[in-house]
Amino acid sequence: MPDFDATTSISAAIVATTAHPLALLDGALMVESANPAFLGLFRATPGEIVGRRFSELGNGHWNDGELRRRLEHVLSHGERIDEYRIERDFGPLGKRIMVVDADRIRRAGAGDRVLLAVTDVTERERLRFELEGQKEFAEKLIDSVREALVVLGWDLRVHSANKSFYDCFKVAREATEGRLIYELGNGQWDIPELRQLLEDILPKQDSFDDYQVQHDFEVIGRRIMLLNARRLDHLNLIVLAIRDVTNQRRFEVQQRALMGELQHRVKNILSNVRALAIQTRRNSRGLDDFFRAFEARLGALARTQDLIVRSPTDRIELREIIERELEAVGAARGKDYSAEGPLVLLTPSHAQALALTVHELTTNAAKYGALSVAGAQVEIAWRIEGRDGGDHLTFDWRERGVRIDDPDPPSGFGTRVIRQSLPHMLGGTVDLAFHPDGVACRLDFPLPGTRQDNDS
Amino acid sequence: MTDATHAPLANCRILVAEDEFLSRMLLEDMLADLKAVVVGSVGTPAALVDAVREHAPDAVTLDVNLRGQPAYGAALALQERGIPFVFVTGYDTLRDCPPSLSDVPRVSKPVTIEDLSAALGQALTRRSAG
Repeated sequence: MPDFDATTSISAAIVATTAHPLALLDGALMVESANPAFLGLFRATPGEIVGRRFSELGNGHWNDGELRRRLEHVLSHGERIDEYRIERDFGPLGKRIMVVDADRIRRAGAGDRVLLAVTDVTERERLRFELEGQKEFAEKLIDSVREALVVLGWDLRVHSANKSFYDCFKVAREATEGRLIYELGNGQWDIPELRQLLEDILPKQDSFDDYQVQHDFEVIGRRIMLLNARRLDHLNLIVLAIRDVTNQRRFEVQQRALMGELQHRVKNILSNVRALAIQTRRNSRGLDDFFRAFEARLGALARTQDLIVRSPTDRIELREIIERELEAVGAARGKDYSAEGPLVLLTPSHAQALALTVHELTTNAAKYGALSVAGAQVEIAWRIEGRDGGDHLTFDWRERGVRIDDPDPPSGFGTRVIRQSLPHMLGGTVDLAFHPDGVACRLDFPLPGTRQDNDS
Repeated sequence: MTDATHAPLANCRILVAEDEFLSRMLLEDMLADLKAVVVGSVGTPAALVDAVREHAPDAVTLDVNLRGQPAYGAALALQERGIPFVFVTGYDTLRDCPPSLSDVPRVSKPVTIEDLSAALGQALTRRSAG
């Protein structure tokens, strides 16, 4: 036979010491007794509570019609109240969330009673709300990060991954979550370096940063990735951040090549300038003579360079080269020269070779030829001819109105450039002749894919 | 420009492989100053092969980059035929240079007559030594 007194005293002790506010209500829903926690909750002494109706407690803040009805039901029908929730302003307690549980205690020979438990869940709810907020914040943060993030359990199974991860590695969420990372995408994540990082390094240290890994993926091809990981020990999770630097690395390689190419070009230009200076000196009669010729040639080089830099497609119009060279010596179109021909776009190397030749022709004309006497003219005309399975440019320079006595003048630098540069650089032919009324020069060279059919 | 130190190249028959016209002119003139004989000037690897066959030069100055293409193929062909040559280069380092060409004498642009003379002299001496 159980020791009834002992059981009763144990129950009483529990009720007295529990932090849970408890009260016994009698058949009229008046407080019969309350434990210290209950008194604490209502900030009241036993005298202020015992013998009063429950609905009158706390200055009427507990006067909740629905609760009263349900408490009556507890008494009359034994229908338990399970987490009845009241959210309101409890006066001096402030805005609180209370949860009420109640059950009937039957008593032989006396009226039934109600055991009432009140729990203030305000703080708990607030924390839960905050936690949910933080969870949502964390999830949104993870999703918004552009780096691919994958959260792994300590068993290296994927807990979750962000949008960037799925986008970047072209795997589906369903085929990812819960799977071993090594199994993802048909085993393409079974990367020896990754295994080493996750299995050897991460157990020893709680993070690693910027490990570069190269790997050939089935769908997305060869990728260079930087791996960063953090161990979240209290959650038994690992956050693995994957930065795809493939394009960045490719860009860096391109950049280096471009710098190299630029350096090459600059060196070429400098070596051309130097060659010009040396050549010009050889054929000069003094410093002034040298300087005038050198400056003019440097100008021609610079003008072509201008055209090359300016032309976004790296193609330069033939007409523009002619006009720039002739204008540089003050020749006016229509008066001093004519230029007739279709629109021709030249590659930089063709433009440079032609500009050099046109410059020397122009210089000669300005010194001794049609641009040095009034009434004389340079007739310039060009056309494109299809020949030997490709386009050829035929370019005619004809000076008229000049008197030339010597049909074979001494060959200087200019003449050498005119006769040799185009054939050498573009593989064409040059025919330079000194007619009694002026110079005639015909240039003919292959033109790889530069033709534009509309006339200018 | 000429003096006794350049005499070793006197009457040497040189072929110039250089796509830049101004550089070519400069090389030709320097070689003339060194009393060498320029037997021809070419601007492409293909023209080089023909010119070597035609002129059988004593030595070749070879621009490493002919019309944007590395001239290593032409260099290896020259090496095979036992024709001395020097690289003329705008680069500080030769990119992707085959190992067997690593000790070819080099002249870097802008070329000076002293460098050119020294490199050609070195190439010709090596030939006669080997």
